[in-house]
Amino acid sequence: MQDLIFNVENNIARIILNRPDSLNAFSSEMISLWIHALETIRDSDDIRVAVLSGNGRGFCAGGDIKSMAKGEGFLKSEGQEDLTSTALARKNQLWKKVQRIPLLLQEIDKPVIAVLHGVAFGAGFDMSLACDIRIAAETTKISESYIKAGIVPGDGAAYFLPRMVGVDQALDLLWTGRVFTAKEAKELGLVTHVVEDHLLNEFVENYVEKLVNGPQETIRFTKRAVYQGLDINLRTSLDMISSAMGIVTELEDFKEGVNAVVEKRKPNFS
Amino acid sequence: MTFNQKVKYDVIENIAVITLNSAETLNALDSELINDLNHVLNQVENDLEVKIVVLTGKGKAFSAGGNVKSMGDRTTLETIEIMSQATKVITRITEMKKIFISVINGYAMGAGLSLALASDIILAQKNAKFGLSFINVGLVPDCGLLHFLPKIVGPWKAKELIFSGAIVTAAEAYQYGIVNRLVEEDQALSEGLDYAKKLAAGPLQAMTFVKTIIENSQYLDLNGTIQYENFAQAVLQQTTDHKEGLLAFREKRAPNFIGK
Repeated sequence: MQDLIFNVENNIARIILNRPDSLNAFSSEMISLWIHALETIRDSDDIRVAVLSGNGRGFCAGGDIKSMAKGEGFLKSEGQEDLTSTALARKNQLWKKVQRIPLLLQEIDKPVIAVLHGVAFGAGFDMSLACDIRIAAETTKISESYIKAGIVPGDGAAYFLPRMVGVDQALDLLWTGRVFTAKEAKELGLVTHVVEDHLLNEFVENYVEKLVNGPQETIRFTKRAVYQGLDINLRTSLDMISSAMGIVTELEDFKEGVNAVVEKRKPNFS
Repeated sequence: MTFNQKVKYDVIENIAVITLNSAETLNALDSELINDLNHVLNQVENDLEVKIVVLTGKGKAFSAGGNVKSMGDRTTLETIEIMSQATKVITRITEMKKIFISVINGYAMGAGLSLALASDIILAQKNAKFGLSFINVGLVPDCGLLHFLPKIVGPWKAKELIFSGAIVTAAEAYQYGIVNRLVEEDQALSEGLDYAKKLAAGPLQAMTFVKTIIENSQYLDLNGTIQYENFAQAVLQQTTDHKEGLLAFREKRAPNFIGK
C-alpha cells in the first residue's frame, strides 16, 4: 500500500495520508505523492473541492521521530539521497520537499478542507493550517510539538499562527508544545468546526457537498479575495472585488441564485 | 493535462531549454501554448537535475503575446480562465528555485514581454523588438508587466511607455535596463546556452538563494532581508562550493564549483 492515497470522484479530490502504523508521520514517498496530488488538484478542471485526511488512529504526527532519532532526517526515506549531512541538506528536506505542500496549497483557488482526528502534531497539524477549513473530531489532540525535539516550526506555523491567534498565543503554543483539545483549538480560532467523533464523516460530507454544488467561480473568487485581503490595503481590496463583482454578475449562476432566493427554492448552480 | 506540441522541451545536462514552438502563430500565448508551458514547467520543477532554464522562441518572434484574434470572442469567464492559466506561468517562473534565462529571438510583444520579464536574466538579439502593445487594444498590461516594468524603468518611464503603446528596440531596451545583454542576430540561442553553461558552472546553491532572497525581499524591510541573508550565509557555509571557493582563493586559482 502506498503512503498516500489519492482519488477523484464526483468532482471531489481526496488525499488520505496512509502510514497508519506511524500515525501518518511523513515519509519521502508520502511527500512526493502529496506534491503530485496537489499539482493535479491545481491543474484539473474536474476537481471542485479537495479533502485532506489521515487513515488510522490519527490525522498526522508530522516529521518522523524514529527517523530523526536514527539521524536520518525528518522524513522516513528509503533512498540514498543525502538528507542530513549538512545544514543545507537538512534545510532542503523542508525547502524542496515538505514546504512545497503549503506553497502548492497557496496556488490552489478551490476549497481545501482538512479533516482532523486522533492526533495532529507538529508539522502534521501545520499542514492543516495551510488548508482553508479545518474540521476536527471532538477527541482530536493537537500540539505544536516541535520544541520537545528542540526544533523550530518548519512547516509554516511561524507564519500562520500569529495571523490566526495573535503573537502571544502563537508563542505560547510553540514555546510550551502543550497538547490541547479540539475544543480549545476552536476557541483559539485554529479549527473551524468541532464535531462529535461518530458524526465527523457525515458532517464533512455535507460540508463538501454544499461547496461542490455551489457557484464555483464565486467560491474561487471569494477565496482569492480573502487571502489577498491579508496582504493589501482596503482601497486595493475594494477596487479588486468590485471588478470581480462586475464579472460574477454576468454569470448564469448569478441569475439562478437570485431567482432561487426570490422563488424560495434551492438553487441549481451550473 | 493534454499536450499540444506548441512547446518543445529539451534537457542538456543540467540545463533545460524550453522553446515556444509555434512559429506560424508567432508563438502567441493562446490557451494551447499556455497549457503546454504549464505542463513543461511541471517537468522542470520536478526534475531535480535541472538547475538552469533557457526560455526562447522558434521563428521570427519570442512571443507575440495574447492572441488578439480570439480576444473579441471570449466570454468574461473564459478571459478569467485563460488569464489565470497564463499568470500561473509567470508566478511559477519567479517562484521556482531554478535560474531562468530568456533568450529573445525576435518580437516580444505584450504578454510576450511580460513572460520575458518573469525570468532572471534576459538576452536579446540586436534586431529584437519589445512592444507595450496592450493600450492599442484598449487593455491594461498583464501577466505581471505592471509589477515588473516600473521596478526596472521607474513608474514614470513605465507609464510613458505603456500610455504610448511603445515599440522598444533592443538597443533602447538595453539602455533602459530591460535587457541584460545584446547578442548578434541568429546567435541568440547559442549565446544563451553559453551563458547558461557559465551559470551552471557556478555555485548554484548560492545563486538559487540569491534569486529567492531578491524575490522575497520585496516583501521585507531591511531587518528582514538581513536576517534572510544571515541564515543563508550560515547554511551555505557548509557547502562544498564554499569550501572550494575558499581553497581556490588561498591557492590563487579559479574555483571549480559543483553546485553542492
